[in-house]
Amino acid sequence: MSAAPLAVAVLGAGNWGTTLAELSARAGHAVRLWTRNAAQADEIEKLRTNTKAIPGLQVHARVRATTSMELAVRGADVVMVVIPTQAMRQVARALGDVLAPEQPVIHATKGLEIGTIRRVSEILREETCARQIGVLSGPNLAAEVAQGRPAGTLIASAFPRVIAVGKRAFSSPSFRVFGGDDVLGVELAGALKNVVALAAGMATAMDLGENAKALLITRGSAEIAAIAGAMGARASTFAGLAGIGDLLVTCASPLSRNHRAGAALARGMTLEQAVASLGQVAEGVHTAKAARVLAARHGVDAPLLDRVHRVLYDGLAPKEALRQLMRLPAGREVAG
Amino acid sequence: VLTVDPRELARETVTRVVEQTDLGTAPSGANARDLLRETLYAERRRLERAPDAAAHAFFTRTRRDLERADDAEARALLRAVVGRYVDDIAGHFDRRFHALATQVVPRALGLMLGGAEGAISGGFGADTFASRLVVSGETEALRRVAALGPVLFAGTHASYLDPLVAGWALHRLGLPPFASAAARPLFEHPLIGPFVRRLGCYSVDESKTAAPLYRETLKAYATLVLEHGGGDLVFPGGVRSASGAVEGRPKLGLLGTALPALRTLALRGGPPARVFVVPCTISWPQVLEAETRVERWLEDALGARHVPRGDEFATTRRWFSFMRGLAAADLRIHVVVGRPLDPFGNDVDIEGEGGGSLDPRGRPIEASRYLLAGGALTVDPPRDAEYTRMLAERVAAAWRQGVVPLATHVVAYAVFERLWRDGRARDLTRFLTDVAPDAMVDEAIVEADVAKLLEELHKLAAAGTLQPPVDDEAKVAIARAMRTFATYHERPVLEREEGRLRVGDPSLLAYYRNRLDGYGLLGAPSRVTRASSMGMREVVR
Repeated sequence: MSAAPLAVAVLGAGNWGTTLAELSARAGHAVRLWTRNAAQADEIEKLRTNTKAIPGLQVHARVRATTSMELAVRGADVVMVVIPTQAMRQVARALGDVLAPEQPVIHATKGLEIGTIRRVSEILREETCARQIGVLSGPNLAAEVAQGRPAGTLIASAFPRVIAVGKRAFSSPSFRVFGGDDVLGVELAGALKNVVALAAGMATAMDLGENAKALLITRGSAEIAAIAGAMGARASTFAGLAGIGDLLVTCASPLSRNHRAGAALARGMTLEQAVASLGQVAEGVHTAKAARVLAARHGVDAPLLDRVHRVLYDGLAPKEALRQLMRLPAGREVAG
Repeated sequence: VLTVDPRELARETVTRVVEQTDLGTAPSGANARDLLRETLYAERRRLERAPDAAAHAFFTRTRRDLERADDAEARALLRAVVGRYVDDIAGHFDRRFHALATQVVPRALGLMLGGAEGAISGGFGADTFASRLVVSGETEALRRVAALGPVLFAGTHASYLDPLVAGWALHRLGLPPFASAAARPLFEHPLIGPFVRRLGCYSVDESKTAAPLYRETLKAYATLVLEHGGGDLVFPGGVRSASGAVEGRPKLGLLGTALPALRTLALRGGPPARVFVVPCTISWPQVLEAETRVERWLEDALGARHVPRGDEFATTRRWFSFMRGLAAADLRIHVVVGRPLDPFGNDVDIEGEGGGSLDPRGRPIEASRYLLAGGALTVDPPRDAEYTRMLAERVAAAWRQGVVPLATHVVAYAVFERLWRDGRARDLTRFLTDVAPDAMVDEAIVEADVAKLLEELHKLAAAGTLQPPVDDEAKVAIARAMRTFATYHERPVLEREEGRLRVGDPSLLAYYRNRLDGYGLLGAPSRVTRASSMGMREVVR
């Protein structure tokens, strides 16, 4: 593979988007970072900081910020999309105005669209001419990656070229990028794990101990894999970085929004109070609804995800949810 | 119209396959030696089942020569094998007849589909046949794109007669004759073989598709037809539907010829290159080969051993009886043309001038750019296969939208589901062995069920999920279905008996029912099970 630097477009200057832009610039590529926020673009261009996203970061000189979708995307060798799920459709539609059919698009967004339960790659298909689509996902706390601490991730795509260009654009000695082709599995794992993170937050706040937390994480992972498997994803994906890897880091980090939301609920707050105390809605609060619909649609029994849903929306007390889960008949651990 | 000399087309096909192999850009990606070895192995297996002295001698010699061949000699062997396949596929192709096909088609089809009948009862000719065929859907769009570039016309496949029906439909729309992939038995049929050869059909021999070089040759030939501006009529379902359901998962082989053809045309420069893919659903009120097809499905679905047996197609008596049935019951075959697509499954602009591709939001895009890598239009087998898979999804969706619920399907569905529920059948085996044989249902109950089903079908049709049912009234639909079922099959699917309907052939009941499988009608789930590697069981979910 040639060593010529790539033109990389990153859409979204939040903490993960900025981090990916930074990684790519450090690897020698020319990065255009799109944000719709003019003040933020200005700050990056003039002060080389992005205080709101990553306080203290000195933004690399090869990262050029812009509010023009066209400037960012035209001619890019790869477009990385890092936009909150619920804003994805709108941004994708704008992307569709300027994207060329041959341009690979990778997204690094974990979530499902409210209402439609669409995955991000499906939104990209519906709103743009993009076909060479991939997803980047893994146990990646943005702050650690931005500090250059070692981490690994996965890019999944049905197109080998997408994986190849994604690896070139983002890998470095401190950031290992693996390849795979189970886009469906990676996207479902990334979205549904947030529901398990809520449960892990509850377990932490209830001080149930490490065994209980491991029990929750493992059974949660099995339920996610069962739903995704019924939809056509591969079981092995859930043993990988985007599966159990991501779940581990999400559930281990008490700072994650989902974790904090779960903890707040376990301390007796209502959903409204928990959301108010966080200042924003944790993704898992939305995804719990989607998980329930998907499980029902595909005839999968997912008691853990179901109880999280009931805690969120039916006023079930977390203690009672736990009691119910512990009393369910325990069958074979691994189905099939 | 295809203007190239057929011998030239054959030569180009050989050159194309050899080039692809040299460049390692053949869809299989294998080199000459591996391709030859795998092909020889597949041929040996085939010839064990169907001995052929000449073929045996040829392939034995090739195998012996390959063992001590250097690279140049291996290449020559590759040419020889591909040349043999081209001859096999397109040896009958005669350009003079193809050009004349506008005149030949009506007469030939009239004779084929009416001649047998005519010989018996007199006077069932092309005109009568014409009145049996109902062509609808995006016919105007098809005409428009056919004037702008080559069209790959992709039909659903239930019967060996499909190429004739689709060819006739194209003729009726005033389009120049298409080249057409037709199954081997069509060529060998005593009545219609002579016509098929003259209609511009090339042969697809299912027994040879295990040989990689045969597949590559077939694909290269079909691609070149498009590159020379010819329309091509194909059946990407591969084999005739065995369950009776619309194929849920088209094979990529012949569908995948549109993409390389587009690339070749784009490389020539000039005005933007266009190749169109137009899906088409053929709905038969009854199917000539239904009995052997459904047996095949049941053997596969229920895990029984497949026992090869003679197809109705080869039996002249069955053929006559089928044609008589079509005439007697005043049946109509429906051909629904779907919306034109580009080789990547995008919609195309049929309103504007150029027939350019549109993204999902209707914005114009240049489709050949999908093939760009590093600034050049490239061949990339995994990428191109993925693109074709996306095209196949669109084609399959269009096929399902094009299904016309005919009386036989509607009544079979209603009776089947009634018996399934009332008989508490939990699986297909039990249904076929315990519940359905000689089961009786009150006609009044069937009428109520059919009325409900027709109502649901109209609702789905209004939403664009499939075509509206032909009959609006339950009584009319039942009368038509009973008339149809009385004409052709060895055992009637259903029979009237003192105000009740009796099941005469449970398997055929399932076969005709399956045409409406997977739409959730009458609250029933899909009963057509997941696809096997043979593609005999179609996925409908």
